[in-house]
Amino acid sequence: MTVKEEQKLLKIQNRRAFLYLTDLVELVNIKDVLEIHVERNEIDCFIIISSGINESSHLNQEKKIELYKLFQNFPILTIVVIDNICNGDLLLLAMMCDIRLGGENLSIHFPNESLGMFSDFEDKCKLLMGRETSSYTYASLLGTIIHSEEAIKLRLINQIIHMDNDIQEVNKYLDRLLGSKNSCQIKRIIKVFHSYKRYGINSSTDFIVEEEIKQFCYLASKDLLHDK
Amino acid sequence: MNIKMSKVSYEEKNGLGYILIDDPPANKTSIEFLDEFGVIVREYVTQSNVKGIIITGNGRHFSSGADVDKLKEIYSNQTIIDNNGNVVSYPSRYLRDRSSLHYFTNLNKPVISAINGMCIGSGFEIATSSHIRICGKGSIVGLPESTFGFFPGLSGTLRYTECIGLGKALELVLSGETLFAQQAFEIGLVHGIVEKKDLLKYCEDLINYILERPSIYSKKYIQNYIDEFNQLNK
Repeated sequence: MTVKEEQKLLKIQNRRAFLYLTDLVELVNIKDVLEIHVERNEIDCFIIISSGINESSHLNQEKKIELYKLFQNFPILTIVVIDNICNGDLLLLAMMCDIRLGGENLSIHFPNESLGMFSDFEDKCKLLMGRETSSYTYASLLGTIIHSEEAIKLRLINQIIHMDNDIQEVNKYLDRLLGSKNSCQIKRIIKVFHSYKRYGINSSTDFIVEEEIKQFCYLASKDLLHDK
Repeated sequence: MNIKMSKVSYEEKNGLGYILIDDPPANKTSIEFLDEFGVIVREYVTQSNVKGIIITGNGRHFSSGADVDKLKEIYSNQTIIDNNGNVVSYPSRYLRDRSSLHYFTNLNKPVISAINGMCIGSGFEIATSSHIRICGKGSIVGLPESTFGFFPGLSGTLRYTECIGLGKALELVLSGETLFAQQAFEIGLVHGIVEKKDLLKYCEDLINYILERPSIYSKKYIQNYIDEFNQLNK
């Protein structure tokens, strides 16, 4: 694929990069272009929109792991918008992104056994969904199918959007989140949450909140300099 | 025991410890408040034999949060940033303030925040460091710091993530949205909502119910305790 073809796949508007995903190979193809845009500070978030992916993708396991690690640690906000059946590789990718939005026809199919990529499925769920309620445990999710309304209650997704106007709805959502915040502030906030992704929230509290205070102090200093 | 400082007070009564954020009407978590709060925790609460703690605000509100300008001034003057933009040193007071809040999170006795009125910013960070949060009707909670150009700095981002998961926590911290009590309850940030006039009594009765149970208190079963207590009092 040429650079021009790669660039066509990625739609960039207002510092937001959108990709319609039907095969994980597409992610591999635009990875380098995406990283260039990030390095040049041209985008604040990357949004993947998928109504299902090709399960017989030619991507080998090593490449998949590389991709998932990229989304685990990407320095900008990553959002996945999922509709219809979300399982296997797409589910794994969704769980690596920062925010998940769902279409009205979403059904999340958890595998019968712990997803192979995670050493501890329950810890990953705890990170993404917060404290268990009295009506379910994380272990009980395995082998189940969760639809969009239930996914919201379980905090698996943040919002249901109308897929007919997907980009418009996502832009509306992002306008609410980001408002007129500058790129520096957004990135510093993302960095804090990425430390929870990286280390998990069961790690020593004093250790994992270090990033929070460092980014807080950085923003406090920067803000005062602007005032001067 | 009854300790009254200028911005916070502590009282022991019937086996419970009561921490009152006492700088009405706004009950700001000013620098003076944080200093006194730290003293209360270190000198009195840690030495105490009380079986549970209730934290609340004097007057209409729990707390309207920090004095943002003063906080920014202190933190920016005492922060050292290297040429690569990395923070290499931050104010030592942060470690004291953080440990005051973490003390309650890690305590093996029930800690309830009885949230009246506004409870935002570092006020809500105090509440989220508690084990249980009960709101009076009409309360408003949240972490709006991102609307002032920064974000919660006293473990609020972690507490949000622990309560409601990374995606929702990130959404709320980025947007800086505050929530009505009912919204906060629906997403799992608070554990219950009661009539304003019944708030303190409800929290006292709940904590006594938990303490009277035959098993040792565990944060793991908080929702079970609350469900059982509410069922009994229907």
